[in-house]
Amino acid sequence: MDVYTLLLIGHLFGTILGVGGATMIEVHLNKALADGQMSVDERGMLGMDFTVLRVGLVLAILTGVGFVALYASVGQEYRLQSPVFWAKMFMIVIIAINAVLLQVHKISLYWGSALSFVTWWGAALLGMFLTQGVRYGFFEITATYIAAVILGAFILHRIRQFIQSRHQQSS
Amino acid sequence: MTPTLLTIQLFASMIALIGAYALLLSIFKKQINQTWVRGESILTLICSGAALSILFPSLFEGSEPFLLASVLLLILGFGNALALAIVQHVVLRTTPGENEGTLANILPVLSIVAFSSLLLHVLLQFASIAGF
Repeated sequence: MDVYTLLLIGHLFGTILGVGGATMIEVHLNKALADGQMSVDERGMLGMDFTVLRVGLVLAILTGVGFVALYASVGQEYRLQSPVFWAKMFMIVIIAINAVLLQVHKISLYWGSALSFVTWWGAALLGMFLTQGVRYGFFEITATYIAAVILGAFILHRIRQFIQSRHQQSS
Repeated sequence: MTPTLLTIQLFASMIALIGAYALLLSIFKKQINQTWVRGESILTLICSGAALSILFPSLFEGSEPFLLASVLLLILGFGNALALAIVQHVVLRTTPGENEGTLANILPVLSIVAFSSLLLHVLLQFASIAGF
């Protein structure tokens, strides 16, 4: 098994953990906030989800650096000129900054959860584009991403409201 | 720079960045875990120092602008990591109440600057490798 394949497996593993973690955070958060209170068990579950997500982020970042080093060592630096690559880097930075803003409560749940969820899925999608050689412009991708975040925030909020109303009806 | 040296430097920079990020998250928690913060600041310091020891000669070799800017930002990140490690040492030697207010204000600022400069250092180095 060559270095590229090992890096790819590690990167995929990290991405899956990150995307899975971000998705389960949304699911568990909606369930926890249905009754307007977060129990100790629910807090513990979310804590585990955040840990999985962070492990995924670190693994994806380290293997990502491995790709950069590999491309530089085999004379394929041109791959780093891809606008899809830079759009993905932009999204990774957004994920990291969003996590800090959520920690210090400087961003609302409405925007923070949408940013996390949409950005992780977006980064995974861009990774697939990079592997398949699909090419879009940086600003094209960024505009689509911003629209997806706005739409995602609205949809996730409506889902949260629906779950809360259903909980109120049943209790 | 040989591919092996570049790989080592890239990983050192990235681990320093991850350490600075973890430090940022730890410092902004409601209750700071001193052991974790100390470990994270030492990790950031060692890894940024290792990366700097490899990249430092680039400052005097007429390197391209992106790489030069990247190295300068790494120096800034390393300096902040060093300041964080020193402040940590002072905090541990200080009795509660003594200098706490000043230190409580310095830690977040240093961690934000360390993280930001190391992040920009990594991104600019990627741009330099890409040949922008």
